[in-house]
Formats: sequence, C-alpha cells, structure tokens
Amino acid sequence: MSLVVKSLATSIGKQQILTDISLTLAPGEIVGLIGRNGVGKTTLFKSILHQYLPSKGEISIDEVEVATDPSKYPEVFYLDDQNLYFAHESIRFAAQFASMVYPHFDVAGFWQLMAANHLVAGQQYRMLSRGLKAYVRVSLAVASGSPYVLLDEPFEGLDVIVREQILQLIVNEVAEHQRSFLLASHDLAELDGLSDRVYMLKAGRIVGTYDLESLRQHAQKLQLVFSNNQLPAIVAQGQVISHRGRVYEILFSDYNDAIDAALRAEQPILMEPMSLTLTDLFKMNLEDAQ
Amino acid sequence: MKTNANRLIWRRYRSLLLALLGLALLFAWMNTGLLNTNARLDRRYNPTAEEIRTDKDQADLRGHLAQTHESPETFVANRDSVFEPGAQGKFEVAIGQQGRSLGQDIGLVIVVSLMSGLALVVFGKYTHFLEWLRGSGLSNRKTAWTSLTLWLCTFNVAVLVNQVIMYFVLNQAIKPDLIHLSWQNVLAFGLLNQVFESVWFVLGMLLGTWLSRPIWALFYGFVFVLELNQFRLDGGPDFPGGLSVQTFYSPGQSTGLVILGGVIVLILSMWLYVFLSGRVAYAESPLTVFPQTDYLFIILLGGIATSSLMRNLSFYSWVGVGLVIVIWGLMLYQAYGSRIQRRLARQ
Repeated sequence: MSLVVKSLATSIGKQQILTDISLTLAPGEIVGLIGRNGVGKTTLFKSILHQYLPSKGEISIDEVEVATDPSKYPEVFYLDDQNLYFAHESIRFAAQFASMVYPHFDVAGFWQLMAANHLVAGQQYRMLSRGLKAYVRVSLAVASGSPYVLLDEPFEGLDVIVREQILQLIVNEVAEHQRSFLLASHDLAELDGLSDRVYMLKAGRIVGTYDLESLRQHAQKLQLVFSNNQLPAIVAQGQVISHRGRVYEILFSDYNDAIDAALRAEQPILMEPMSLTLTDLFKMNLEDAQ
Repeated sequence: MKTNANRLIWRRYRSLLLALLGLALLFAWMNTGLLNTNARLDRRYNPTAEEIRTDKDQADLRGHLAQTHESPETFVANRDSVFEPGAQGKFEVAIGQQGRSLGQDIGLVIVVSLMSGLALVVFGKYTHFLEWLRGSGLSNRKTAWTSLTLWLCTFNVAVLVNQVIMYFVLNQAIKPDLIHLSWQNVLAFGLLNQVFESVWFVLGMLLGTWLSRPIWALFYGFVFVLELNQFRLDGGPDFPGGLSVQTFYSPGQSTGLVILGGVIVLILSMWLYVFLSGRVAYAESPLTVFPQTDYLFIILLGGIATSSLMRNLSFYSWVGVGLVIVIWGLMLYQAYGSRIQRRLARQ
C-alpha cells in the first residue's frame, strides 16, 4: 500500500525536465520535497498524475500501475495552484467538481472547514486572500479522502494563523487516517519539524533522500575556528556549509570518534556542536552545485 | 472506482452548450422573421449562356436580357443565389433580398462550425479543466471520446434545429409547383449539412488541441477561417469565393458520394482528435503542443500570410497589406517574443 514512482523521466518540448526519479510515499508519512526554483518539483507532481506525460518510468498506486488503470488516480490528490480548474469560479463549484471525482469526498466536512474561516459557498475563489486560497486548497485535499496528497508550496506567503490551521489539518489527517502527504516546499524550517523524510531534487534528479532523525544520529554539525587560516586535512571528511572569516560551519555526515579525535588534535580555538537542520542539507547540496 | 466522465464534462460545459443551442434557435428565428417579412421569391430560368443563345423556348428571357442590356455571360456569372433542392429543370428558385440568399452562407457556416469546435477546446484548456480531468481517474482516450461525443452531438442538434426550422419556413414560403422539398431531397440536404458542418467542427477541435496557447489558438483559428473564406482583409468579405455554394447545398447525382466522403473525413478527424488528445501534455510551449510540428505550423501560417499579402497587393489594398503585416508581427511576437525578451534581459 503505497505510491511508488520508479525511474520516471519527463520532457517538456525538447527540454528534459526530470531524469530517473524514484520515490515512495507510504501510508501515514509526511515526506518533503525540496529543491531550488525550477528544478522540477511541480513537473514531478504533474507527471505523477499524467498531466504531463512521462517519457519513461512507472507510477503505481497500491501496486496497480496507473498507466494501465487510470481509475486509481483519485487515490492521489493534487492541485496546481497556478492552473486551477476553479480559479475563476466559486468555492461551491470547486467542491462540486471535487465531489464528482473523489469518491470519498466529505462534503459536510469540507463545509465545516470553510465555516471555520467564515468562507461561504458563493464566494469567488479569485477574490480570496492568498492565505485563504491556500486554506481552500488544503481543505479540498483533506475533504477528498484521497490516501495520497501532493501539496506544492502549501505554506508560501501564509500568515501564522492560517499556517497553523493548515499544519493542524495535515497532522490530524496523518495521525487519524493514516493519509500520506508529499510536500514540496521552500519553507525548510516548516518541513524540518513536520516531515519524516526529505527528497532533495536538483536539476531534475533526486540527489539525496534524508531521513532527518537517522541522519541526526550519525551526522554532526560543528562550528569550528582554527588558529591559522588554513583548514586542517581532517575537515575534508566533512562539508563546509558556511564560513564567516575564520568561523566555519562544517557538517560531518558520518561523525565518529576518529574524526572527533583528529579535530581535537588540531587544537581548534572553537569547536561547538550545532543542531542539524534541513536548511543545512539544502545549503550543502547548493554548495555542491556551485 | 470509476469517474463519471459524461456528468463531469456536461456540468462544466453545459452553459456553453446550451448557449450554442440557444444561438441556433435565435438564428433560425431570425431567418424565419426575415423570410416572412422581407423575402422575395424569385423564379427564374437557370440556363447556361450557351442555352440562352440557342434555346428557342426561352425567348422571354432573351427579351429580358435585351431590355436590361445584359449579356448571357453576365447574367450567368451574376447568379449568386442559393439553389434550393428540387428545383425543376432549368429553373432556379432563390429566396432573398437583392439577390442575396437568406439561407446559410457556406463561408459563415465554416466560420461558426470551426470556431465553435475550437472555442470548446480552448475553454477547456484555458480553464485548466482538461488538464485537471487527466488527474481525476479518466483515461486520456475516455476524456477525449466523451467530450467529442457530447460536443459533437450538441452541435449536430443545433445544426438540425436550424435546418428543421428553415425547412418548415421554406415549405410555407415556396409554392409547391416551384420547388419540391421531397423527403429524399430533404434527407440528402440535411445529411450533407450535418456532415459538412460536423467536419469543420471537429477540425476546429483538432486545431484547438494542436495549438498550444489557448487565446492565441482562437486568434489563429480566426485568421485561418478568414483566409479559407478568402476574406481579403480589406473590408470586403468574399465568403463563397473559394468554395461553391452549389457544391455543398444542392444535392445532385453525386450527393451520396459527397456525404460518404464527408463521413470518412469526419471519422478520420475524430480518430485523430482522440489520438492527439491522448498525447497532449498541457505544458505551454510557444506554438504547438508537439514541438516537432512547430515547423509545420510556421509553414502553414507563412503560406496563409504570404498568399493574403500577395492578394492584397494585387488589389492595391493597402489596408489589407497593413493588416497582414500586423498579423505577421503578432505571430512573430507570439512565437519568438519571450525568447527575444530573455535574450535582451541577458545582455
């Protein structure tokens, strides 16, 4: 029981956007998808739903390949906020059409969520604020009852109240109904506390999968200052995330006693452990690219 | 878990489809009014110029020509009325005002049919509804077949409504001894129109599917139908110029063959629409949804624009030349505008 993408490749026009993408979304998981603008996050979501036709690869939902049985698609919920089918329509319209597509759509539940923010059926979606638009989209996702939900930048530009409401909705759905969320986001701090795993997308490829908890068990981020300007050789075992003057922040993905001893042997002026965040992983991969 | 394609597509398009039916009724009603109040019934001979010279039975027509100082050739060349089915022998029966037919103009029929099909596809693309349907459990083929069936049926009902009303009005307006609207003729006439208009409708759908940007697709569709109708872009429409009205509106010995050919073209177009729809990715590209066919599109439009330019030049129509240049400019802007902007931004 999972959403599985295997060796997916997608081209738009003559341009190859995605190459050899493989990922899994299991029930009850919140998985992050991070990457810089234009790396193909939205294309990946659209390819999973065959809105963009993949040139290669397999997508299966609960072990059924969707290319042969597209009726499995309502098991996955995705709305492209730039290209919404109800962008110029009312909230009622959005709900009516969603209820025709998603067999487990909870109409009453959806209107309860709308009422919580004083939204009414006749309101035009385009007239809503950015935050309320995001709230309507996430509410549709929640009401859809689809086991797998793909959300593209769900927290972008939201105020604290709406952000909190959306977070609560997501967490509740995962906890109570074992639903899975794949969240593409730039808000790394938000994903950090929320996601079980994170896929890093770079230039159309998945360059890393990070299980933050297990990573934190093995990895160590250190703030280091050495007396001379030259970094000792042992630092090459880690990766420089940032440096200001002689102050370096270095991430050792497999930190062990030998590395610790070697660093101490260099007698650093400052050697301070720091908490590892998703932002560090993001920056680390960014540095790679540069 | 099956998604009800008919229900979904009908709900989304019902306002447009009902508007189409409403317009068909409105036009039929308008035609009825025109026929009742303003129509002039002409019964005249329909001979060739050679027959006018030689046929002794047509002395009265020759007398008429002598009085009006009109040559047989001019008389024959000036006939522009719609021939109604069942006209007997060398008689031509025309209904209209000042020699213009009140029946359906073939050029206008092409414009309305093609643009209706195009507009429905463009609406689906512009509102991202077709794209959303992709991810809703409907196979691409299912979506394409369902929309095609629903739209084509509604369109045919609209055409049929128009034809039926016209038939009853004509039946009332024309004396039975002048014209025989026999069931065979009516059937042939009706089928011919249904098939002919359906072909243009599906071609419009194909064009809308092939062209990538919805609003530009409407623009190009309009340029295409105007050019097809040899509209010279100088303020002077010349709708029937390229296609003979009689060819399509007067059933004759070859009507069955024409209908058969039309049905074959219609089926092929429908199949092609479903085939292409299954391969459309809904990602916006500059010209066509398949980049490998961009050159085909450029050649097609280049040909249309060049032919229009040459024609305008031959007529010394500077307004027309200006319009063609504006259209060329818009085409180039649409195709290469963003690329040029990006290049300028980099400099």
